Amino acid sequence: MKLVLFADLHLDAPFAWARPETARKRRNNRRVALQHIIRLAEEEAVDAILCAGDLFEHDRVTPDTVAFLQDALAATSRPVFLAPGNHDWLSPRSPYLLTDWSPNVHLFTEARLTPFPLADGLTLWGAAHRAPANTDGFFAGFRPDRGGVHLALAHASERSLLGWQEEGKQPHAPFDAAELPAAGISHAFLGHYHLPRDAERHTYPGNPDPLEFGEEGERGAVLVTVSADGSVIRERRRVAVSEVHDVLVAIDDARHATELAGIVSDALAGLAGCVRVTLQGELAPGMALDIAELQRLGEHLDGLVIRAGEIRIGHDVEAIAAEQTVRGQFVRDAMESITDPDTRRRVVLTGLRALEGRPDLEVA
Amino acid sequence: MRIQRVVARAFGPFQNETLDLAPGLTVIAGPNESGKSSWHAALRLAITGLRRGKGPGTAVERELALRHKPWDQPDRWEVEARMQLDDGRTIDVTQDLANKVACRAVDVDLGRDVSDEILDGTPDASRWLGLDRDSFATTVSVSQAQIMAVADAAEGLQEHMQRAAATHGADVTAAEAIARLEQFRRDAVGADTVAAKGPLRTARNRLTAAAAAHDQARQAHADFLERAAAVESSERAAQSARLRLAGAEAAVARMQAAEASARAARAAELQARHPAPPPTLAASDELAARAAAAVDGYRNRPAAVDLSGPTTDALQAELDALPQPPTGDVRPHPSVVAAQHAVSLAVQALHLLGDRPAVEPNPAPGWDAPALRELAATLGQAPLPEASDFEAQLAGLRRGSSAAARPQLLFGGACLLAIVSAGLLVAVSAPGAVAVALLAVALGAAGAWSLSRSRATADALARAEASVEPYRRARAAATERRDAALGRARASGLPEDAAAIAELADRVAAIAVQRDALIRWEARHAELQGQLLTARHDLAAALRDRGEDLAADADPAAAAATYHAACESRSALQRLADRAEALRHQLHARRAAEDAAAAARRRAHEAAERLRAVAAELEITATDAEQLCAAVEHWREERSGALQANQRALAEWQQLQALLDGGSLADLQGDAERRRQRANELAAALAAEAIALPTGVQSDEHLAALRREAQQLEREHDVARGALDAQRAALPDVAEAEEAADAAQRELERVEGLAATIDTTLGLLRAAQERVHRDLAPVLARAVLRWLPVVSGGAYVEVSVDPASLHVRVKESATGQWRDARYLSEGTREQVYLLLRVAMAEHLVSTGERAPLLLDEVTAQCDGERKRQLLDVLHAISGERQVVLFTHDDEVAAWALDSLASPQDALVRLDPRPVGAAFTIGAPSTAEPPLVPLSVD
Repeated sequence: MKLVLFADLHLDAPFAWARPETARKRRNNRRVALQHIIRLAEEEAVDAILCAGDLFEHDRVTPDTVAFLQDALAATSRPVFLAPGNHDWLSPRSPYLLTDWSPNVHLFTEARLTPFPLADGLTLWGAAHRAPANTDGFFAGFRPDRGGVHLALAHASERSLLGWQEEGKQPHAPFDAAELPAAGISHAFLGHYHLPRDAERHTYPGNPDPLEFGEEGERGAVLVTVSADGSVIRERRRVAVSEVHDVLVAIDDARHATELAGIVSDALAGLAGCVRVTLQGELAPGMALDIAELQRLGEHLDGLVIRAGEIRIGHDVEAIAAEQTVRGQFVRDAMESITDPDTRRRVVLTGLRALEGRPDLEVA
Repeated sequence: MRIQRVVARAFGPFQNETLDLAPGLTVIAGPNESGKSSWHAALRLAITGLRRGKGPGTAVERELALRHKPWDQPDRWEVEARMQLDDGRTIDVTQDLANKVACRAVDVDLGRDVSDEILDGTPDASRWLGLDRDSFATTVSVSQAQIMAVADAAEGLQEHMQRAAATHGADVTAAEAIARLEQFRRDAVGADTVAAKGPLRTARNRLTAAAAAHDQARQAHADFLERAAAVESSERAAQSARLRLAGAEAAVARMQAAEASARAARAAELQARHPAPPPTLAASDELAARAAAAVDGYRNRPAAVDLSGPTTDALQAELDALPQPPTGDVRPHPSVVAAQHAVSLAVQALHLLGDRPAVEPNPAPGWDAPALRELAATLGQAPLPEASDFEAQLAGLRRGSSAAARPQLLFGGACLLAIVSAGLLVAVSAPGAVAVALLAVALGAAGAWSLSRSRATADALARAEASVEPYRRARAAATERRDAALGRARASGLPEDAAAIAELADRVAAIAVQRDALIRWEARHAELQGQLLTARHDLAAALRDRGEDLAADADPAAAAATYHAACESRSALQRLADRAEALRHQLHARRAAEDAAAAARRRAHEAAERLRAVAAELEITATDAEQLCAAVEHWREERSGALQANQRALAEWQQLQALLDGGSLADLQGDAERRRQRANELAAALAAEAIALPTGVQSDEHLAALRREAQQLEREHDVARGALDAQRAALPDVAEAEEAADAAQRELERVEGLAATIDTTLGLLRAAQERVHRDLAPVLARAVLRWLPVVSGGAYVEVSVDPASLHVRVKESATGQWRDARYLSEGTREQVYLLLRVAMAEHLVSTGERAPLLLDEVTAQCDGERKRQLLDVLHAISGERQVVLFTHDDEVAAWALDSLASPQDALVRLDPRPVGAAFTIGAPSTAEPPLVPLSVD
């Protein structure tokens, strides 16, 4: 039995950082990623396509996306199994229930594991989130009512992995890995965690197309070969369309804005797609850091985000603080009274620049 | 810090030339183009070096390089200096200004590299002063231009002070920085009022609009999903209605096809059975009717009546033998019974009254019991005592009363003794008088007691004398009454003893009771006798009323017994007479039964005769009527079957004609086949369970209702679908709206963050300015005051510095008035400025080192006198810190020759240098202060 697994495509999710045209392009990339997955399924002649939830975002999904999904899933004759997650939860108004899916699409609709016989002696158990939150775990106390090999498809959170995931991840439908063998599940195909994970008895494929900057791990679709004894062989395949780069740029050597622009431009050379540049290092005392100006360096990219990382004040703050001047007093007071390092940096730089008579008083 | 020498290895026009400086005041004098500016720059750069960094460097650095790089060796630009720090160390500083590589600071005594202490990319010795390259230039070095600025502009002095206080003079003043920040805040943030149009309000408005658009998009999206669900629901409802309609239509079609098929089959069957119209048999005939009537008559003939019991004759004979009914009462009449009962009650009452009671004779005739008891009471009263006893008591009282004269005697004696006592008291002796007085008192007391007793006795005597007479009269009356009673007893022969009379009274009272009982018995007895008499009379009357012949003196009770016996006899006769009526009824019934039996026999016979007649007509022979009847019935059944078959054939023929309806059998079969195909077509797309019709409904009406329902739901679904399509076309993109809201939020956060940063910066800057100025003002005032009287020739004797603005005011010694230093003469302003610079240099250097002063043409604006005064001050200052004065002024040089003394001070003369030529060193004159020669390595 050969399967292709994916999850967390998050069709129609927003990109808060992006320009409107970039955001649109990124959203379209996810659609293309789904087409890649289906093409992969055709090329590999898999027996079924499994989606472990968060295929789209219920609160944002557009009619156009639903129509696209309808066509995309109908474009293959291979069985497609959908297990709604917390973002595409199965409400009475869900497109899952309001759309005439092609016959090859099987939707798991119960908030508990229900069976679908994939082959003689091989059963796929799937479950759906029926609410956007507070969905209980699917595996605790579960026992198959039949013999053979049992696979599972769900949007669920393995508790021990929560700490490794991105910040703010909620443990929807939580479970412990030990629950799977206890439940008689040979392998669970899961969604929700965007960081990929190949565990002994479960697999998180990760988001197929990048959602955020700084994503790590080999994310995409997973080709799964299921043996007769329920063991699996996994092979990860890249299906992403979006190209995303996270670049650190040291500004220590830049003495002025032109030099800094050159450094950033060098860092962007050869890159495509969306790039996030994090500036860090010591900002030369006389240099104006104009983020908006640096953004223009990414006009050849789909999107460019310039952000100030750990930027240190280039001035000799210690020496200035020792001065018996207004400047020295100001720096001393700022260093003493402002505890937040970033706020302190901004205030000190703003004050020093004002005292230097500079026009660039907005500190990035 | 004192700079001992500067070595220009490769600097401007210099190649390995040395400028030695005195620890006190060094005047470096020379005309234009003698290299003063180059040595000034070399001196400063030897101390501070240049900042290391990529690229062309700052504009100031570029200007320095342009002016002071060696003209013939642009790749080499080096300068060295030796300085002595106030901590005792001697330091050699080497500055590789071209490459910024071979730069170092070395402790001469220890040979140790101390560059790290002052490293700012390259060694910067101004750091030992707590300064940096920029602030060293503005704090330690005073140029002619600065002096001229102070001289030219009244505000220059204050501005410089503020700038120095703010940033060592390197940049703007704190006030300028604050103003710049305030302006920047107005431009980059703006107000936060509703009417404002600055970036902050714009960002807020944008966020509000974007958030509203986001909310609207989300709401529209939710509405769209809701509407989509409704459309889905309406579609399901319409589809369900369509299915129900199709199912019903299919069911109807199937039913109609079945009916058509059945009609065709029926028509085929009938046509096969009746290829031609069947003959019409007579529906009835008279013989068959008669046969039916005969059979019915025979079958329903009356049954033979079974007569039992006495015959009519026997009953008549028994009736005739019965007696006639008696006359008179057959049972006692109630009136007789009631009268008998009344007589019985009266007799019983008399019996219960009993015999006449007996009464004794009265033993005291004429007396009744009360009179006897009064007589006995009178006679029984005891006689009153005699009056003589009272008189003896009265005499005793009278004797007591006569003795009542004594009190007067006692009172008289007492009075007499009192008089005697008084006389004795006056005339004789007191003791005697007392004794007599006591005696008089005793007599007085005895007189008072005696007087009381005599009054009581008189009262008792009066009361006794008043009561004695009534007593005598009462005793006489009692005696009289007893005597009279005794007389009456004796006259009536009664005993005189009161007790005997009382006993006699009781006896008389008992006899009176007996008499009363006799009277009551007699009255009751008379009453009962009357009642008995009345009852007997009533009984006699009742008997006569019942026809009894009763004599007037006859005993009604006996007559009543006779009457009762007669009633018994009549009752027995009546019972026999009563049977006659029953016998008459029985006789009548018997006669009717016998008549009915005869009639039944007659009708049965007639039915049998009619049956036989019909059988004869039908030529049916049989000996027994029953057999005849069965044969006739059989004939009738056969006849009826033939008729029914003929009727069925006719009906079937008519049915066939109706089925064909003018067409042929083939037409009918074709129609059935078409209907079957239609039904199959309709059923093909439907599940078997969907093809159904409710039971008990009219299919046409049901189909019409289903069609209306399907059409209505279809219309509703079309409307909903249209609205959904319209909404889909206008549906905002939630993700884009969310992104716009996020962007607006970020912009607002940026502006708010900027505002917070600016506000915090402004607050800190204002506080720092206030504090520094407050600390600095007295320092400056003291420093200026120290030298001002000297440099001003005593014109100004006091100084004050405003902490808020650092305005300097000086007090004019001649008038005592305070004057704003900004408006003093140019020369005075220069002097004050120099003094302030010295003060600043002292104040701003925070490391404990004393910064040297590098002065360039600072006396240019001074007249001769003030120039000398200023130079004197500088000379005095050089006692505390090193002063290096560059000048082209010959007067200054002359002053130096006159005023400076080696080795503390030095005058260095620089000669004009031809372009490209080396400097010449003026030889020190023995008459002049020893000069520090410029050495050339």
